[in-house]
Formats: sequence, structure tokens, C-alpha cells
Amino acid sequence: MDNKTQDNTPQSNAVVSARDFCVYYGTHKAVKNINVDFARGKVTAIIGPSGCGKSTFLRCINRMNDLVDGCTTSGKLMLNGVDIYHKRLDVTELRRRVGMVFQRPNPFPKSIYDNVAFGVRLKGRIARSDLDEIVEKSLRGAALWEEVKDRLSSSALGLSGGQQQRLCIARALAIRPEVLLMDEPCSALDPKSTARIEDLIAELSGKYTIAIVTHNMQQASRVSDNTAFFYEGNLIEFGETAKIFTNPKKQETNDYITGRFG
Amino acid sequence: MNNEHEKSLILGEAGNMGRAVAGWLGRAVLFSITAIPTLAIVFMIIFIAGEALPFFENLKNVKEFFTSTNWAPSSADNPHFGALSIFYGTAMVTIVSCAVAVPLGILVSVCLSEIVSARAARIFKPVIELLAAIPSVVYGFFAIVVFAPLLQNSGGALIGGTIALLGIPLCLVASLCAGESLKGDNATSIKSVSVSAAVFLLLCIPVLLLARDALSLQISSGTNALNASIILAIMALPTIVSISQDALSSVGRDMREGSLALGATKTETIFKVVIPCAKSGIAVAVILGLMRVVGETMVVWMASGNSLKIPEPFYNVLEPVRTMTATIAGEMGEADQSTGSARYHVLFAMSTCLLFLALLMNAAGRYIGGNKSRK
Amino acid sequence: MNDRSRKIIDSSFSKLAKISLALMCAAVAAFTLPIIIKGAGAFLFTATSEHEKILEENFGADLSDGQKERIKRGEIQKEKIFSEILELENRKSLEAQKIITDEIDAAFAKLQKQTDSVLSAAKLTSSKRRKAFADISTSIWGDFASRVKEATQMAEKNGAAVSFEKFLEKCSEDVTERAKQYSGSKALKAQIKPVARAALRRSICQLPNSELELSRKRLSEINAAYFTFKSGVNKLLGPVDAKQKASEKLPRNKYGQSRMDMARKVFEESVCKIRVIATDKNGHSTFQSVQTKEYFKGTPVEKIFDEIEENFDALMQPHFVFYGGFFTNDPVDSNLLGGIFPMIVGTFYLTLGSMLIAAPLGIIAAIYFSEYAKPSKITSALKMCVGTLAGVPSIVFGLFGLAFLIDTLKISDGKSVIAGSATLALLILPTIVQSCAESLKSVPQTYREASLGLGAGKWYTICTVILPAALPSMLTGIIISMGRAAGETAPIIFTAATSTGVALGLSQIFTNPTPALPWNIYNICSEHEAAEMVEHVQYGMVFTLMGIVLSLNLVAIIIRAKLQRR
Repeated sequence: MDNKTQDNTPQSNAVVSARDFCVYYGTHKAVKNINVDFARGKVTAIIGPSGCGKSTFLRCINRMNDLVDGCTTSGKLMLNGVDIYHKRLDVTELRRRVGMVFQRPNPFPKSIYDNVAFGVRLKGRIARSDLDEIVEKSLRGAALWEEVKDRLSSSALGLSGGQQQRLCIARALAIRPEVLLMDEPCSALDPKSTARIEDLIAELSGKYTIAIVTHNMQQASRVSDNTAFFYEGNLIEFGETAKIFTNPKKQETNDYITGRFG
Repeated sequence: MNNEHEKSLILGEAGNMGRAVAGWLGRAVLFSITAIPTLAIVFMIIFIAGEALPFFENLKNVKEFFTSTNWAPSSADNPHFGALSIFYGTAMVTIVSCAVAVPLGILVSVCLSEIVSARAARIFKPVIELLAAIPSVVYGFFAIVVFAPLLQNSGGALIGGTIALLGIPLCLVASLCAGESLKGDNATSIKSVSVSAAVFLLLCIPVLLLARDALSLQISSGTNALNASIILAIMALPTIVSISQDALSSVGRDMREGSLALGATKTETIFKVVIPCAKSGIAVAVILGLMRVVGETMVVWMASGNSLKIPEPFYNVLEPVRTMTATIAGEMGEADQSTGSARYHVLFAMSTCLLFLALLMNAAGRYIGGNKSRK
Repeated sequence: MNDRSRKIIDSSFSKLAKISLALMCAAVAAFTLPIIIKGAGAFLFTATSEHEKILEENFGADLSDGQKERIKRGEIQKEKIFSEILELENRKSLEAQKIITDEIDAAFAKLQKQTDSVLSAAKLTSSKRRKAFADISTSIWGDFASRVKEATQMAEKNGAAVSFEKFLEKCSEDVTERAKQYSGSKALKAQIKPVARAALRRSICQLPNSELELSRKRLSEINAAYFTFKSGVNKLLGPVDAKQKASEKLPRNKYGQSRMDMARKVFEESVCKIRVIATDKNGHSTFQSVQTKEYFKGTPVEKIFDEIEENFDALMQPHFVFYGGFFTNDPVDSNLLGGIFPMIVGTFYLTLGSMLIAAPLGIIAAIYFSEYAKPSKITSALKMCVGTLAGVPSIVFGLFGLAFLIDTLKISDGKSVIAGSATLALLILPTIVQSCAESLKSVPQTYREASLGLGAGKWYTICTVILPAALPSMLTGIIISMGRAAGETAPIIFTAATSTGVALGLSQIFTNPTPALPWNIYNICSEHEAAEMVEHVQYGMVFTLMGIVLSLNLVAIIIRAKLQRR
């Protein structure tokens, strides 16, 4: 492996860094000895064929895999130098710092406003005016405000798929995470909505550290600064997106990008 | 680092302990509440079998309990605890009602899942739910107030009519099939018609004779085994129908299409593909229906006539019988005044039998259902 | 087999299946229709004027002027019948009475004259003495027997059978008394021993009294028929006067029929026909049903019967009513009068109580199963026990409630609402757990991920996201269980139900048993002493119970339908 980050100390601007990180489902090793750093304020795309462990890795960053029975890890995965799998870690606090947007838009069956306010309210009571402000800011941040400002109290389930996904992003933004994980956020959306989400990711980059799993290589090349290519649980290649897509070092990467498999 | 994130990700020892304890406590409370049904089962076995123990301690009693028909538990100087006729009554009512409910229930569920359209099936679903929702005492009321007088006054006509109505169409189908099967052998049409007519007559005569015999039946009491069985069958119907319908509709569409694509008729598909695939589900449905019949109290108490003898001849469903549940319900009301009397204990012995019967059937259902999921 | 027969089998099987479906629907209709139609008859019916009278006197109803007027109209008509009845009972046949009193007077006058022969007879030995006394008796009574018969026939013809029967009884007492006086008179006392005096007294009385008894028996047979008729009339129209009304202990006897259907039934079964004692060909006396009109042909009773038949409507004053009190009044005299309020209240308490116990426990257990439990042996054992508990016969729950809750835990001394509620709660707990766990499982996993991904704790996620999402479908399951609890009978027989009683107050639920619809339906169908007189109440109770259970189910179905639309 000739990753740039093979040494054990994370780079100074790394927010998320993995060191020999493995994930097992029971006895099956789904993610194998990953070493990677996600730089602050950058968009990192994770690509690879289905079942290569890219989603599994992403879901480890905010410990969503705790929900999966029989899922264990080894090695280190750190957020700002703090071990995410430390046994005294406050998981809820971790998840507040590492927001997540899922494959399918999953708004709660509540009003648009309540969806966005959900995470904020977790911190205890908050003045209505402050809450209003946060909701508006988050919705604006997710480029949804103009479309929904007149029907904040109607059900979120009435929105279109693309709007719902942006609402989920707004919901994640409302608690001001450091890192935003996106697990194929556009796979369930039509091309027009996809374009809007991609624009949004571009807007958000710089303010947030974003990790996005995608099947769509054009998307990866459009939105990301860095790209990691996973194959069969291994991190094959990691580097600047432009380099990976124009001049991959590994044969597998090249084959994948040119569509030989996957 | 961001100002809002000043709080450390790692909890202190104390905080961690606090969370762990709180979480553990919460889980413990949840677990103990979840264990209530389990505790109930355990306590039920302990208390009911415990109250039955004084009775079972005496081996002579046990032998009498299962082999004699002499039931006089309240007699002061010479009590007898022969419950054989009561067991027989339970078995009889169960068998007869299953004979009615199982074919009918499976036919209805097949009809709902295979024959009528999905929309029609949705319309019929509330009917089944209605049948399931009617309280058992209302069934008992119906049995005693409406059905019993009907059976007593015109039971013969009712039974005869049922035999004729069910028998003649079956004869017709059988004779047509016989005639048709001849046609395949290049026989003339006249020959096949005459054969089918002959078969029809041959089959019809015994059916009609049976129906005529039934017409002249005199039924001494409308509250008898038949009455209770029919009402119980109607009660068990919704259980059987809904569970076997679930089993049938969980058989994949591809299976049916595969069979139909090979040129099988709908009926052949149902019998050769769908039902074999769903048979464990249907078996579970039958067992659950059976459990409802065995455990039902009010209907048999009100409608079975509560007579303490084995009908003569043994298959005579028109005689009153008595079941275990009805005995417990009827006699405990008087026995519970004298807690600890012999009668009190023998009734608990009876309900111990009932409880273990239910547990056994449950286990059987679970075993059969479990086989299915493993497949 | 060839194709044609395959097709025939195919289509005939389809038809058979459809027929069986139709059969099931027919069974539903056969169940529900009579209950709805006849059940409505419990509170929507053609009443007689007695109905309002009962309401006024038992439940303090305020009657309108029209109702009072109607009662009065009926009363006037009844008065006519009653006065004829009273007149008939008091009618005396003085001539016939005189014949007998004269006879008795004459006999005792003769006896006075024969005192000497009495004294001499008394001195004889006992066997001879008895014969001598008998001779004396025969000589004084003469043709008393034929005179009594003659008098009895005369009284019968005059329609004074009732009063004459009483008169004959009095005569026989009179004879006994006078014989006693005679044998105890000073003259005899001084000379005859007490034993002989007693013998004398017996032989004087024996002959007349047996004659009187014979005639009295004849009359009493006729009178018994009459009184049977009269009690039928009383059952139909009520007691003849205030005195009779006050003397009747049972409220059912204080009023006539309050419903026209019942009135017609009583008229046909107890007034048109009466049961009389008859002797069959083996010489045994049996009851026989005869037509009133023929039995009393030519007597004043026939006239009374005709009058009742002709003025039936005027007597009963039929009018259509809605009797809302059926649901709000207490029953009177084993449900023969009044409503079913205590049973409704009892069912309400039991259902609500069991729900308050079972729903929280069931929901919590369901949460444990769907959110916390890891697949393990213990979890599957717990789940198995839930399934097993659901299959335990309901009567066993009743016994368990008795043996465990009442006899061991002693949550109350004997039956109580709380014991019944707890037993019912145990009964419906597995159903609630199963249906709620099912609902919770059907909440999409993405909701959990989204909430946890936002940093919500597990408990917070359950409370704010999962439970609200699962609520409607959980509610469906809980409401259906509630319907089941409302209708269950077997578990409450030994733990909560009593057949009579008034509606309980809230404070009594920990100590008192209560009437409840399911138990009382059993009771009124199987153990009521006059089941044929309360058929409308039976149907009314069943209607009410079905109404409660089915409307709960309807609510559940509506909630589910809304859920599916979403």
C-alpha cells in the first residue's frame, strides 16, 4: 500500500482518520485494514462496486453500525484524534458531530418544521424565535427554504423525493455537525433533483467536512475533492479526485473507472 | 475547534458509570415487564397444578379420574371422580366441530386467496373479522335461544336437507366425470351419457335414503353435541380462515405461474402446488382452530346439554354431552365456597389437564410452524 | 383424465369454494340479523300503558299529561274487568247457605234431645260405645249428605262457587266447634269420662265433615281453574286492587304487561288457555291445557273473558315508545322490569380496567422485543411464552385469577372488579404484545437511523419517532383486544361477576363484584326462572354487548383504513 497517510499520526488537517481499521459482520471481514484521512472542509467521495464495504465504512464513522447485530471492529477510527470506538465514548454526542444523510430520503412523519427542529430540540428547550431562526438557516443552507417557507407546518411526507432529501440534509445541518456523511444520497432521486443536491454539496464544501458514498463516478468527479476507491473491503487507492479519474495508479481503479466491472 | 463542540466526546468515568447504570436499570425494568407473560405461564402451571396435587396424590383417584364415568364430586360420604364421560364429551365436540370447520375453513381461505379477486377478498375480510370479534357468550346465546329450538323442532328436516344439498351436487360432479372419462376412450356419446346417468342414480340413492332417514329424526333436546359443535365450528372458522389464508398468499406468485404455464387448471394448481407449499401454515391454522374449540367455555356450557354420560351409540351427536371447560365453569361456582374440598381439587385437576393439552397443542403448532420457516 | 373432466372439476371446485364462502357469510347474517332486529326491540317497542306506570313508580319518571291520560284510560277499562272479578268472588248464594245452616242447626237440636241415650251409650265398653255413638250420629244427621250436594249445585249454578267453598269450610269448622261445645257441656262432663267424650265428639263430626269436604273438593277443582284464569288476567292486567298490589312481594306481580308483544303472548298462553287438573285414563290426575272459553261455557267467567278479548286494545292502550331507560335504568325483579345499567357499567369498568393494566405493559414488552431484545435463547423463550399464553383456554385464566390473584395475592376478599380486570388483562396481554411488536417492526428502519444519526438517544428515538409512527396501528391492535376483553365471560366467572346488583361507584371497584353484560347474558339465558318472559331483555343485552364490541372493532377498522390510505 502506498497511501500517503500510512504513518500512525493523523495529518494535522484530518478530521476523520482510520488506522488499520477493520469491520466484521460475525466472522466475515467486510472492511479490511483501512488507513485514510478525510481532510477538514473537503468533500471526499468513496467509490467502488456494490458490496465493497464503502457504506459499511461510512456508517462506522458515526457508529450507525451499532444497530447491526454482530458487527464488530478492530483498529482505530478517530474523529479529531478521539477514538470513535472508545468504550466510554458518548455515542449520541458523536452522532451530533457527525451528521448523516441516507440513501433514501427518510423524513419523519412530522411537519417540515418539526423535522428540522428535531435534532435541535434534543438539547433541551429552546426559545421559539431561536428555533425559528435555526430552522430557516438550515433550510436555506439546504436550498429548500424558498420552496417550503409557506408550508412549514405541513407534513414532510408531502414533499417530492428531491425535496425530502434536501430536508434530510437541512435536518442534519440544523445541529451543525463537523462532518456530514452521505450514503448514496442521490440514488433514489431523479436527475433534476440529483443536480440540485450536487449543487448543494458544492455549496456546503468548505463549511463542512463531507464524505459521500456514490455509485455514480461522474458524480464523484463532479462534487469531490478527494476520492477513495474501495474494492472487496480494501482501500485500493486514495487521492485527489482529478488524479484518480485521470491517472489512476492501480489497475483495479482503472478498470473500475473505465467500466470494466462494477 | 468549533466553539459549540467544547464538550468532550469521551465521557468521564463517573458519567460513563451513570449512563451504564441508568441504561442497565432501564433495560432491567423493560425486561422484567416483558417477562410478565412468562411469569404468568410459570405461575399458572404452579398454581393450577399445585391445587390439583392433593387430588393426584391419591393414585386410586387418578385411575378413577381417567377410566370411570361415575362423576359425583360433591357427594359427602361417597364422592366419585370419574371424568371419562367429560373427556369423551370434549373429544366428541372437538372432532365434530373440526369435521365441519376444517374443510369449510380451508375452502373459504382457498376461495379468498385463489379464486375471487383481491378486491373481493378485501371486502370479505371484515366479515371474517366480525365473526372473530363476536364474543363467545353471544355465540352461546345464539346456540341456546335460536339454534336449539330450531334443532329441536325441525332438526330432522335441517339435517336431511343438508345431506341432500351437499350430496346431490357431489353425485352430479362425480357422474359427469365418470361419463367424461369414458369419452376419452372413443366411446359413443350415448354410451357416456348413459354411464353418467347410471352413476348418478347409483350414488344418489344412498344419499337420498340417508336424507330421508334424517327427516324422520326426533331430537329430544336442542342443546346437544351437534348444536355445540356447529356453533364452535363457526367460532373456529375465522382463526382457520385467516391463518391459512396468510399461508396460502405467502406462496410465491412464481410458483402459481409456473404451474399454470405448464397447462394446469386453477384447481390443479391449487391442489398440487399451492396447498402443498402452504401445508404447514394450514396445519398451524387447524391447530389454532382446534385450540379455540377445546378451550371454549361459554358455548359448550350453554349449548351442549351438560349431560354426564357417553352418548349411545358412541357417535350419536344428537345426545347431550359435557365438556371439561363446561364442568369447570359450572361446578367451580359452587365449589369455590369450600376452598380445599375434594371437588375444588378435582376441578383444578381437570383444568391442569386442559392447560397441558393447550401447552401441548401450542408446542405442536410451534413445531410445525418452525419447520416451515426452516424450509 | 381428459380435458373436459379436468375443466368440470376445476369449475365445480371453484363453485364449491364460492359456496363455502357464501355459507360463511350466511352464518354471519344468521347471527347478526336476529340480534340486531330483536335486540332493537328491547328499547324500541309497542308499549302498553303499564310501561309508563312502571317508569313512574320505579324510576321516578315524570309523565306528561298525555301519558297520564293514557294510563287513566287503561285504568278505567281495567276497573270494569276487576270489579266484575271481585263481584264474582264475593257473590253469595244465600239460599244454598241457608239449607246447610238449617241442617246443622236441626242436627244439633236432635242431639240435645238424645242426651239420655248418649249418657247410656257412654257407659258401655269401648267397642260397643263406638257403635252406639255412630248410630246416634246417623240418626241426627239424616239426609245431610244429599242436602249438601243439592246446596252445592245450587251455589255453583248461581256463580257463587268461590264464596261457597269458603262457606263450606266455615261450616265444617262450625260443626266441629259445636260438637266440642256439646261434648264439653256441664251435663256430660259430670258423667262421662274424657276418653268417651272425645270419641263422642269424633263420631258426631265425622259424617258431616266428610260430606262437606267432598263438596268442597268438587268446588275447589272448579275454583282452581278459575284462579288459574284469574292469575293469567293478573299477569296480563296487573293486580285487581291496591290491596292485592300491596300484598304482592315480587314487583313483577304488581304490574300488568308493559309490552304489547308480551301482552299478546300472555293473553294467548295464560288467558285464552288455562291448565286444569284432569284425570287421565289410568286414573292419575294430570295437568291439562284447555280453552278457557269452552271450560267456563255459560258461566260469568266466560263473560269476563269475552270482555277482555273484545276490549284488548282499550285495556292495554298500545303506543310505540323509545325506551332509553333500557340502558340507564337498574333492573328490577331479575330483569323482568327495568334496564341493564349496572351490567353496562360493570362491563365498562372491567374493560377499561383491563386495558389500563394491559396496554402499558403490552406496549413496553413490545418495545423491548422490537427495539432492545437481541436474538438469543432467552428472547425466543420469552416470545414463545407470549404465544403460549395466547393459547391458554380462557377458563384456565379464570381459575388462575381465583387461585393466584384472589386466594394467594389477596388483592381483594373474594370477587372484585379489580381481580376481574387483572385476569382479563393477563388474557389480552399476549395479543397486545404481539400486535404492538408487529406494529413497531413495521416502522421503517430508516426512521431509527435518521433519529439516531441526529444524535438522539435510543429512548428519545422510541418516544418521539417510533411510537408516534407506530401508534395508529398499535391502537388498532389494542382496541381489538379491548373488544375481546369486553366480551370475555369465562375469566370473570370466578373473579368478578355476580348476577345481581347495582352499578358500582368508582370506590367500590377494589372490593365489590359487579354484574357484567357477558355474564348476565349467560345467566339470563341459562338460569333465569322465567326465561320466556325476558326474551326481549336477552336480545337487548346481546345487542348492547355486540354494539360495544363491534363499534370498538369498527373504530379499529377505520383507523386501519386511514393508515392504509396514508
